[in-house]
Amino acid sequence: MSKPPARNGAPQRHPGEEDDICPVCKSNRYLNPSMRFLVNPECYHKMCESCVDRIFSQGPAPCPVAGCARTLRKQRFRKQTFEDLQIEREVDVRRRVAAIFNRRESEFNTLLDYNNYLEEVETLTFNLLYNIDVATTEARLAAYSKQNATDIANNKALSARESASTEAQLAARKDQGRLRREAARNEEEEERREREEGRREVIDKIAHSTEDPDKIAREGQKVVLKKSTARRNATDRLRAQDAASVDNASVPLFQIAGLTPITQPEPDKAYDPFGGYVIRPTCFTLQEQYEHPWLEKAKTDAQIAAGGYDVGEYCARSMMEAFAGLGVFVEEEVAGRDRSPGADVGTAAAVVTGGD
Amino acid sequence: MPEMTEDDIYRTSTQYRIWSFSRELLLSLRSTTNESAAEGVKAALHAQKAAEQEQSSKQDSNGSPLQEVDCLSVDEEQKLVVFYCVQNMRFADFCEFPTNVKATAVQYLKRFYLSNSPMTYHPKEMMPSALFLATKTENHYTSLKSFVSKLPKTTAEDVVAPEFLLTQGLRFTFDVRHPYRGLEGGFMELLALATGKGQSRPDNGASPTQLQKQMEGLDPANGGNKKSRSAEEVVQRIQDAHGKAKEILKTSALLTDAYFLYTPSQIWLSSLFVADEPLARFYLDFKFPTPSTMKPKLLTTLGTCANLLRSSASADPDDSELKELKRIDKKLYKCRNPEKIDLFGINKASEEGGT
Repeated sequence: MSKPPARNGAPQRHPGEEDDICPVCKSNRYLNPSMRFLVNPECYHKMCESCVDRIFSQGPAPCPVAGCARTLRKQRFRKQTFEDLQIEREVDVRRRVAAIFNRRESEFNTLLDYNNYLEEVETLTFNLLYNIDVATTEARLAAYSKQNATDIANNKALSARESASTEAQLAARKDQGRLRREAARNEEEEERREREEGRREVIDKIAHSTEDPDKIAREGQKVVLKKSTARRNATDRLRAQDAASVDNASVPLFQIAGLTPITQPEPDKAYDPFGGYVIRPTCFTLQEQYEHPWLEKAKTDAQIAAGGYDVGEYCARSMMEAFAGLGVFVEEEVAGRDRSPGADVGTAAAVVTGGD
Repeated sequence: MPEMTEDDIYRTSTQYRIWSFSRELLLSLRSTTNESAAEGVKAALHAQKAAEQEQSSKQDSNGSPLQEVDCLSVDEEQKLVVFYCVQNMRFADFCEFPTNVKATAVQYLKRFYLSNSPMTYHPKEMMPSALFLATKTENHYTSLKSFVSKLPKTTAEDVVAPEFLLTQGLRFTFDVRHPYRGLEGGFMELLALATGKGQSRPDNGASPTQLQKQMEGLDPANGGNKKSRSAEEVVQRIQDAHGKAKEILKTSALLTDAYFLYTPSQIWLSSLFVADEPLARFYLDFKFPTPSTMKPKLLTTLGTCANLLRSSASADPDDSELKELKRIDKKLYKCRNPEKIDLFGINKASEEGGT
């Protein structure tokens, strides 16, 4: 991270000129009024849309700018966001690095650790930006993303959730603003109407009574003022309530790191079809391989194997069935069953199943 | 952690819990069913006669007196059911259904006629329904339309109408544990032993090669005089025994009461005893090398089961048997329960009444 290399590319030109002439086909805005410029994040060389269509429609091709020769694809050309292409590139690189190094402060024990981490990330970013040790930097980036794939995915999901809730909050705030503006408009209207009425009243009074007109006018103004203060007080109260409700809504979004450690829900245990029983055959030990004329085909035929047929599974099952019940002497065991001869089968079945 | 042995696993099956009986129990169950069915038939016939007499007495008063109905005996019922089991197997073969579908259908019929009598429901009507139900429970999809098209003079309603009755008779337990897969398991292990790839058991000191040698020295099967000398001959012998045992399991194991009296693994080992006794004895010695109380008990059980399998009714009845069956069928014609003949109507009525 010593000195940034000299910027390569075209020499400095006047801003207007650069906008109007395509560096590849040299056509200008005079000839083609609807000219648009595109860049490819591979090398950030600018060219006009018709050049992109012409050169890259047939598939990937080398960049036409002299001395570049990187292979570009049409799909990746886009409009540039920033006028300075160097900034465009920097933003791209930073976005890419940030997607991989997305650790949060809350994951670190101390602030120092977090700052060291940020420092390291910044070093990597700088190296990428100014082409210092690009190969090793890329390798480090790839290694990190491979090692921390699950953490990266988790943090990504977390930030997606956060941005979703932020958006929802923004929308709610917007809605509230609209309502507030409407209320203010209504209020203004009301006030205007009242003032009008008051004035009319005063004029009527002056016309029909014999009192001092100045006095009547003063009283009328006082009434209007009183009303408007009362209203203002009421609206102030409402506003305060609104503000309070916004504050309440935003409370869960404040995150204070390190206060509550995130406890992951315990993962479900693997399903046990035997409900905790261990099957321990006494009459046989399962061999790894059995030979059976029928099974030769099943072992090799892709059509059978593709369906998920497992020869070992068949062997285990047939060995189990070969000895399941060998030591069960029906004559003896059935005699022990609570059942009178000649009883209906249904009741006997009920007795047997109920007894279990 | 609780442990389960193979036997415990079998004890969880409905075949053990509901469909396993001792010989006496089986006998008493059948005679009770027969008695109550006979009473039902008599009552129904009397009621029918009485109604007829009432009708005819309006015209003329000399109605024929009630004569005693001659009902089927337990034995005759059994013969009839077995015959229709055989028919069922033939029909399943005709439809090219796999063995397990066939065997399940036969067991459904046998189970159904434990609590129902042929005098109440004719096996001929239950047979297609049992087979069709077996295609469903054994996961061998056959559409009702194509199934019916293979049956002569039968409509889809005839197949479906007795179905609920059948499932009721089966106590809604559709799982039948067959000895076929067990036989394949034993066959695989015997082959492994014969080729010297077997695993010696911890309680049996013999190494795989010693076991292989022991197998080569076994007495020939069923009184033959040629001893197998090489591993290839032993393999051939095992394959022969397997074929024979399988044939027994496909026929006599199904037609006898073996499924009610024994467990599937006992049935396949007994069939191996019938097919090749020295081989079966060697296998049992290998499994239970140390003297225990279980082994002699197992041997007697296997012996009685083997005798049962040998004594099976033939899957191919000869002329005299057919004559007997015809006589039973004629007798059945006179003693059928008239209230239960129209299964289609009964099914419809119960459906309408139920909803």
